[in-house]
Amino acid sequence: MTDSQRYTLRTWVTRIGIYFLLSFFALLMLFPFIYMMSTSFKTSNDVFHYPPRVLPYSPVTTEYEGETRPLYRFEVDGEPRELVLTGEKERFGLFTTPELLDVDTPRNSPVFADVRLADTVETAQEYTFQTTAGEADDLPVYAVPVDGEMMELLLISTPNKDVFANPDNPEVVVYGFERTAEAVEEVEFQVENYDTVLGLNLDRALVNTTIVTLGVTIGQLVTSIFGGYAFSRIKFKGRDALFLAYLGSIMVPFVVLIIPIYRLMVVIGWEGRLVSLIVPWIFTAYGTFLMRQFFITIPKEIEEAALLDGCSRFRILWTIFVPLSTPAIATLGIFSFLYAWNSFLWPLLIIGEGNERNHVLTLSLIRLSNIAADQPNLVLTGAAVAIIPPIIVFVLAQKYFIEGIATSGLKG
Amino acid sequence: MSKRKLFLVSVSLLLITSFVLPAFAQDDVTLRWRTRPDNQAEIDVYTAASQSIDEAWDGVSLEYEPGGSETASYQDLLIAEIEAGTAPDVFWIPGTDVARFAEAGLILNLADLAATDAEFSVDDFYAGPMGFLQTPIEGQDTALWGLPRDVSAFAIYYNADLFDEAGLEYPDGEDWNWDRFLEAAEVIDGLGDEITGFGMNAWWANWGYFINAAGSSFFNEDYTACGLDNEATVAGLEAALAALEHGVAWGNDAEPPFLAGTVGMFINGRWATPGAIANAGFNWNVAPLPEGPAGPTNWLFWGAYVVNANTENPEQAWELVRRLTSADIQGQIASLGANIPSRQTEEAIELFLNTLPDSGVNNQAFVDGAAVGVTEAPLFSGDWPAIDQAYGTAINDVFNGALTPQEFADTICGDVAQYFEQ
Amino acid sequence: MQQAVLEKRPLLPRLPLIIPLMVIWHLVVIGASVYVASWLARMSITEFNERYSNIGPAVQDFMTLVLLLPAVLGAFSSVQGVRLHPSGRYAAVALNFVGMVLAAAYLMHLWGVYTGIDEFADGVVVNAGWLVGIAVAYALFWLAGRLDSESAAALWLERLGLGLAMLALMGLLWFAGAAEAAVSILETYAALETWLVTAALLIFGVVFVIMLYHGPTFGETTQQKNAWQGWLMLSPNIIGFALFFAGPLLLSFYLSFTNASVGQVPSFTGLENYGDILGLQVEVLADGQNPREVLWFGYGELTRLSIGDRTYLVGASDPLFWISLRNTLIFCLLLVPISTIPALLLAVILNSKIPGMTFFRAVYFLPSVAAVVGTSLIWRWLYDPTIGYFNYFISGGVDFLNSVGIGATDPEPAWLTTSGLALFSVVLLAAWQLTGFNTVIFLAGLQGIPRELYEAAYVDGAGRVRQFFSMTLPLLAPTAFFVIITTIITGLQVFNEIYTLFFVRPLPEHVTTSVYYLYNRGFFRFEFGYASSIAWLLFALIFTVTLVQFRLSRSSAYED
Repeated sequence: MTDSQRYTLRTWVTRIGIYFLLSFFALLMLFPFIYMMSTSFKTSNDVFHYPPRVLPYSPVTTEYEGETRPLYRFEVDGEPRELVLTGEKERFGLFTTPELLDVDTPRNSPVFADVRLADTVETAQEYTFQTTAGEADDLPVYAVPVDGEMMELLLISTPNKDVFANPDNPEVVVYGFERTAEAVEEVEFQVENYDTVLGLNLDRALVNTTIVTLGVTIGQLVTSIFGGYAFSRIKFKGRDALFLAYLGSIMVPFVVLIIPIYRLMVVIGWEGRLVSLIVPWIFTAYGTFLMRQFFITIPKEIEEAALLDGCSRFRILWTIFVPLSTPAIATLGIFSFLYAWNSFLWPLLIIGEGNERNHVLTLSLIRLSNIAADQPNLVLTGAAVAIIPPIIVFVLAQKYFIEGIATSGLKG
Repeated sequence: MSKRKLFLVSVSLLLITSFVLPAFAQDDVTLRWRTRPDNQAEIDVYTAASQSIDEAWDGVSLEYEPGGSETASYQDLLIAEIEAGTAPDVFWIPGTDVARFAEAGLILNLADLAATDAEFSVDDFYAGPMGFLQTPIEGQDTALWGLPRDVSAFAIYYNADLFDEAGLEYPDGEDWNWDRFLEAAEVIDGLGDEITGFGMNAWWANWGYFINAAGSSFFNEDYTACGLDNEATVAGLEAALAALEHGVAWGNDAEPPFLAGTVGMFINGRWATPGAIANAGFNWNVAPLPEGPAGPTNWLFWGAYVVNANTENPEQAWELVRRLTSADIQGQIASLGANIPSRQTEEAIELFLNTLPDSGVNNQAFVDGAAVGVTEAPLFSGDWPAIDQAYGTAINDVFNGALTPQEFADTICGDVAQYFEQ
Repeated sequence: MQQAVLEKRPLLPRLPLIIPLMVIWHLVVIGASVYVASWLARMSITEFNERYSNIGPAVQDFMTLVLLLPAVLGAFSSVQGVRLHPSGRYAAVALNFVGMVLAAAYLMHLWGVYTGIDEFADGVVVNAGWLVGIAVAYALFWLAGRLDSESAAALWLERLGLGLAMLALMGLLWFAGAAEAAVSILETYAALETWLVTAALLIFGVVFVIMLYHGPTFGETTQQKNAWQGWLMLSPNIIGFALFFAGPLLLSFYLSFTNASVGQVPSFTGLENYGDILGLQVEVLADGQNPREVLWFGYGELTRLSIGDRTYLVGASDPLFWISLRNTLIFCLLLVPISTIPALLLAVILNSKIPGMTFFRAVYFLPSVAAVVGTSLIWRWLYDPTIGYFNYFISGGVDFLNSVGIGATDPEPAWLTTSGLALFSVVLLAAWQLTGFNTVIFLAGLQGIPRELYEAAYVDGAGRVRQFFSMTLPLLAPTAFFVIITTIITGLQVFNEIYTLFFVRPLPEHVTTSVYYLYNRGFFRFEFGYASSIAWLLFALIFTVTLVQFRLSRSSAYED
């Protein structure tokens, strides 16, 4: 092997290793979403199927004596057959011999015969034995047909078995337990889950969230563009002190403000109203900072020429700065969008879970997880409704977004 | 490209400018009322009940608003709204919160209004809740804080298929006691890896049942101190631990696995019946709770409609409470299958026994349970949220093995002593 | 310079008409301001609290002072304005501008604009079908964008799209009740108040604009012009900042020194809240002694320490605060390594320029764009001990181990309910959401390291691993600090995951974090004063962490 051959081989092995690692992490990141989507198309019974399956299944049914009943797969005389669950039950007896008997827990003894109770005959006898602790115990003795002969055996348990029948020939029956029988199933996507969930107030929440998100995003863009321009391009007394105060405000955690802003909302009568989710949040120090950082990079000469021509500041801002700043505006827009769309604590406090009319998606989702606690398929359908729009926005604009984080994040 | 931007901008601007929209005024006396429903079906039935009362009542129009959920601190948001003046006129609160609301002056004492109401009789309702609802606070001679919306009791929801498979008799009858209960849990648990014998949720009433059935109690007789420092508490918790050994791990919601058909027996209230009918794909029914050493026991859960202390129309509000607790409306709500009427009249019980006729559910189990139930108690001389938290923390330690039942019984009353008024 | 200008003026200069008009208007404003301020000052504290939801007497005094501000500004601007001093103009501009904005905001309130959003949403829900029109219109635009931009077809598609969009919006607005909205706005003019506010808005606006354009009268310099333009552009931010940040911040600070609570007039209690939150007691506990005997009244046992043969009992006046703080710190301590180390690894790999990297970068980032409430609900079911995938995978792994002869028992963890595991489960979820975010930041840091350095190192014969530890890591230190600090700050405020993942109420102690505890005290039990104190303590903690970041990033910057 020459050196260069070894080199390429090593590169390829490394590459495959790298891609393997990357794919592993990618799967890790995507798996919860895959699970969400898959569950959102399932029936509630299917969600509880163990082991869990990725594809949504529904039971295959057939008409049997005028009713729709599920089919199960059995082996009859060595051939696979699809039998119908009749809904009837048959009492069976589990029998053992005195030799096999587990004296402490008789029902755990090895089963010698598993026979329809109707085919056996109860004898008047009882079999008496001693437990290891020395106590006396007894079991009833039955005459049981085994291989064509009647044997006297001890009854240890009487399970009630489900009766499965051939739908074409009801005379052919098999006894078993529905729980352990293999159901005949087909892949079927329950698209109507989405309809159900939207009917459970998520339609209203979707509209509210859209309105709130639009309001916050547009509001943040406007205030940030004006603020960013003033901070970056107009020199005046007090500007830098104000900017410092503004930067400082980023450090104040939201929890410090929730109680007073809540009180403020109560006083001005916005409690429980959608407006409380919009107006207080359109002023953002972070966005202003982001726009300032971007505006600083725009060459001064362009602006000075325009000013000499007698253009007003607003005109310069609108016709020169805004078009040049598409990446920054897109970044901020997506940030605002995600922030408004995903916010939870504030809506929880100011709107409340009970006020369904003004729910945003996160609230409706929490509520759905309560009223449909026994139907995870619906809960995760709701989650999908809440999660898919931001993912679409992210996928469409991920270039701006990731670059925005990389540049602004590091300088913050 | 730029036209697309223009398009987006104009669409957004139009949306923004169009925020200017109206509200319609109403001239009638409008009463707002609220309950905390557990699911959409309940929301629908309360909405229908509100409409039928509204139609039959001139000069008053009703607005029903479904409240939050159990995780959303329904009661606490109400407190905030009462303070802010935005709370509804009439609202439902759980029985355990009546004292807290009464003492904070948040709800109206209806005793005087009730005294002038000839048609009203206290005896129509279950005596347990009425006793608490008529407890006056300091400086009052008589009180009536509200009327019970409904009552409820626990039952054992059992998976009949699993009982069949195990060859066990269904839980019922004279000897349905802890021995049989624990045996059934063990036998069913042995049916398969994913099968468990028993499940209960991490709520005080669940372990409380074991405590009560063993002969102990959360509080002393006059509800002024902790009552858990005795051997019966130890016996009760040991039975609960024994059952959980064959059960769904403590703290997990046992309802999903029960509905998935993997739990043999599941303690829950009447409120879970409609969900089980809708979602359980196997044969099931309900049975009374097994009898403990201290005889048959259960809880009598209840919640009451109360009137906002700041309502502008107290008389209409009282009338609304009366109408909401009338036999007719209670019948409508009970027909959904999630509630038991709070009226202890024969007529109401008969009506309840005939609910959900197609399901074959053993309604009698709930009536029997309610009859022997320990009434859920509001604490007029203690801080229930704090005690609830302290009990819950310690009991988690017990079920997670960090504390023995004996240690629990020895220390718990000391831990909560500060929350009772001396 | 200005002195000289003043001296040259006659005693009574010829004033432009706007000045006397402004003075008259300002007299009205002064009168109104003094009237409203004295009305508020004379209001009994009970009435004030009833009206303004128990904010407390200090707020009443403060608000009175704020209400006098227009009077002061009005008087100042009138006097200085008559003297044609620039400061008079600024005061007038500021007063009238703020007056205009507030009047407009209040007028919108009277019109019902704010609450109208709710009704608008009602209308949209019912008529959501019209939104399809907008979607179709957007599709047409998209299609037009694909075509040759000069072609007639593209033009037509654009026109069609615009027309359709407008039509759909009009339809939506009309059916959502735009007409009723207009009527109801007109109806508000039945009240005198609406007329007064509208008039005030107009006068404020007119005076503001005229004064603004009277720069030359006051001898305005370019610098001064820049100044007002700057302030004007910042004004939305400043007004919002004052209303929704500075004001609430002050109020929060004030509340933290009061006993503000439900149905109670707040009174100043000094440091009592802070004392109650932080109060600790350490005692030596004799063998077999009941802790109750040594603890002060109202104190609960927090923990016991055995040092040597002595047992120290630590009591706290609010044990749950300390427990929640401990949980929060543990949460951060676990979150930092679990969310940063894989992120660093991934960033280093992604930094090598092989195909498909942007795809992986986007995939890793997905979890952080999804709502925490949604992802928590997903994880809640993944964690489910009976039907969840996590335990399914663990069982699969255990079966595999058994099949190859390594004896292992299935732990069957109950993720969310075992006290030792629950918090860790939250950490895993949070790390899942944060890793992609941290990766992107690390990646940006890596891309900032000059290529030449690596080439030099390659010439020196440094291996990849050595290269990473001796070069990449030190150069990446500032980025790493940033990532760690932001992760800690995020971790200190964890709430949504906790709220959604655990449906048991009251929340078990072992997963109660600081912000949840604050929520519990402030919004479960409505002890606003107490909760504000907790918030400020939390702020102090976060601030310290941020300060550390500042110091570290600065010192590392000097090292460069």
